[in-house]
Amino acid sequence: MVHFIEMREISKRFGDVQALDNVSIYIDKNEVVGLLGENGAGKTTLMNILYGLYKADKGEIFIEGKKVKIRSPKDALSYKIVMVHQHFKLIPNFTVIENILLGSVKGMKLNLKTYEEELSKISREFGLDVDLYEKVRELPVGIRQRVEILRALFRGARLLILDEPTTNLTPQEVDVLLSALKRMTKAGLSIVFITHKVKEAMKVADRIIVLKAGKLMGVLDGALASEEKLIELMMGVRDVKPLVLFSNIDLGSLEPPKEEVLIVENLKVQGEKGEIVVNNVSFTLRRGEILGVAGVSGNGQRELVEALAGIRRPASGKILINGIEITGAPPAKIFQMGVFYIPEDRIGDGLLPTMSVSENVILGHHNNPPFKRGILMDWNIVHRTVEKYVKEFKVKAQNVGIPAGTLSGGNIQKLQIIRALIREPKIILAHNPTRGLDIATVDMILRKFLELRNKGASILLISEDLDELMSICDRIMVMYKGEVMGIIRRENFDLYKIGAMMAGMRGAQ
Amino acid sequence: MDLHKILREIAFYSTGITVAFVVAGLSLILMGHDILKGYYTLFFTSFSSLSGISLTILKFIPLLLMSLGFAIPLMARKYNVGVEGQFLLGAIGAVTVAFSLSSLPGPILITLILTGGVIFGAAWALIPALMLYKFNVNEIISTILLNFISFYLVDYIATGPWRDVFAGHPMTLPIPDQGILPLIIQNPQINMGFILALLFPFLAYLYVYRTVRGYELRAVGANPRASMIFGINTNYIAPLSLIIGGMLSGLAGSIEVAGLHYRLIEGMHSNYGSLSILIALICKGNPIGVILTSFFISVIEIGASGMQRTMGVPVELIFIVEALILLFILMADVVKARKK
Repeated sequence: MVHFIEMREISKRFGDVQALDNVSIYIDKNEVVGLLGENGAGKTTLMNILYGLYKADKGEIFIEGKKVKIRSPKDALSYKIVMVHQHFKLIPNFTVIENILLGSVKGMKLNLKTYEEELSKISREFGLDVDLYEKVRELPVGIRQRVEILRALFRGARLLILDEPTTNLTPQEVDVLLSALKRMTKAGLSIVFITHKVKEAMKVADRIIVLKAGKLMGVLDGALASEEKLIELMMGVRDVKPLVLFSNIDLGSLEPPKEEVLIVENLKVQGEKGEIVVNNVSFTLRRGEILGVAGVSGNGQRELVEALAGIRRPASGKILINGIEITGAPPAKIFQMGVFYIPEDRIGDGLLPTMSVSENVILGHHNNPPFKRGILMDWNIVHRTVEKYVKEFKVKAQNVGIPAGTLSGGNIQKLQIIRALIREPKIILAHNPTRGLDIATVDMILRKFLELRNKGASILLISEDLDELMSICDRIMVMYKGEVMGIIRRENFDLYKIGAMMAGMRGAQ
Repeated sequence: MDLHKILREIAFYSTGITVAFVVAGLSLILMGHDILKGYYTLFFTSFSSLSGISLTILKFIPLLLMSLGFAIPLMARKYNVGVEGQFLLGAIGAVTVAFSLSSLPGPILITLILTGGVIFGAAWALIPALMLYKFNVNEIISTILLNFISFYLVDYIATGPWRDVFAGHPMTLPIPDQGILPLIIQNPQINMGFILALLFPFLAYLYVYRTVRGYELRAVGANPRASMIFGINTNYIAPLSLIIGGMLSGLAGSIEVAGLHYRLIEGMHSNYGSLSILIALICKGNPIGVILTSFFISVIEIGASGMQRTMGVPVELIFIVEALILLFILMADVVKARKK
């Protein structure tokens, strides 16, 4: 049988990294192929080759049995292959219809009306509602993605490649997307759905292709695949121990309520341009609790946590730690109270690239015994302490003396986590601490958080990953446009309820 | 593995230095000079006579201290181009103390002269430091401008009440005899400023790599935002490093007065400023590397004036060589980064 698209023995190397190693896959008509793997597995690279953005070192591509050369996205488009990247390529100041028609129609004169009907028909057919005359910059992420997909459909795509399409979507938006994809395959399209989430792949894909470190690990029928099997393939180990993300952990009762270690009252914080980005936020964090903060990114989470960490001065409101008001206090003072921050931007906000692993981990703790003695640093103790953690977290570094800037992103993130753990944290403010990490490391971090919680530490966990929040949080607070839409207790966790609140619906406090 | 890396590093840099001297040799040939004699004069003038050794050490002392004065702020990514002005203010401080307290006994007067240099140098660096702290004024601009002011300050004092009316050049009278730095070796003549200066690279090393403040200094240099987020008071670290730079340069100025000229002379800063910046950049601020590099530059500086005296080769040739060394070392860094 001739497959619609076939990629044979594709290899690609970037410097020292074998991004793809002899990978052969095929895509048939009318199917959703889930392309599953951890960060750096080679999923996006493989599809970028099919889309003509990268040139494979080795390998061939066949479309309907005929060998083709795809040298650019333009070539790909001529074969009706369209890819929607994680970062959308839309012009914010243009309307939806202008964005869709841009580059797709020829001629001197552009009459929007002639295409309006055709576009409305496509959007109705697949359930992708969007106002064609709205400017793109006014639209939330989920709708912008619809515009990208509509554009692909308008161009007559036969294969649609979606790169991590559910990033920053609410569960409701994810549902709309998934049902649209089903309708598209019925209408004759093929879809490649790139994801690192096992559950998502199982939900959407007819067939699941698993990659790990550039190698093809296996292809499973979506209906027959099990979570365990997929995780085994992704991680490349047999008999994976149960992961926090996939087990239903009993965190025990919240009653009676424990003491409040962090109290935030009517906090208002300004953004870069002086606009209010955190608006009247009030909440408390209790001892031995993990409080999750959910929300589409850019809804004030960053400014909130920066205000708590003392980096950003609040415009008004109060922050109390252990009953002591610390509103507007400098980071050093907040640090001294045992409040440690794991910033989202691990490179820009957390890394000293030219300095050693030890010197990086110790940043912020360097003024405390036993790491210093008098005015001198005690590097022996620092090295020994850091070495212990580096071993525990399996940081890939020859020794603790090498410059941290030479480590990979995942290992740099491990240093950020270690930094928050090294000196008995009372409160951890963690912003997307697991983003882009492999499953094993994510699991290790979540376990560590649970362990700390059970020892009485409190964690404010800001995350874009709802599965992660729902698996380890005692309560989840949802933010939308700088405001708190509500705080839900663990027994009331509900994906769709949280999703509705992420889209601006108020829930119970 | 590590040894291999170090050897490669040495190979990269020595290639750069060799190429710089090959360029110098080619220029000698083009100008019609004997290239072998040129190289010999360049490298051995310093060691061929007692006075050569003495002159080399006298050049080495200010270069060493001033390149440290540039190197320490460099750790916090600040460029203390003001080392020259701070050196001159140190010299002014030295003569001011020497003339005002001229009746004090030697050991006390010498201590006060050197302290005066340190304080004046620090005060001069305090101006850009405050401008940086308060208004975030770029230290490169403020220190360069202050250098110009310092030239005229020297002029003003060298033609003021302390001036030597019999000299044909603006300069002050000599300082009292008991204020002159004693010699530690008679032949060649080497004064105690040498020992004093040699202490500072090690003190700087301790400060930068062993103390809490030194760690903070380097952290701010590596990533100011991350340093701020993790509780380092980044506002005062960089200004403080400028002041330390000013102290070191000021000390160099007072040693120059009390150990070499015995007075304030217009133009006494020679080209110490640019040379010390060059030295600090060549060894990327490493306080121990500064010792060898300063010595090497002193040797070829003395060699260059020897070439001018005996062969008529302009000293400017050696400025070109020094600049080329820096350029090739920077290029070697780029090549290394590419290879990764």
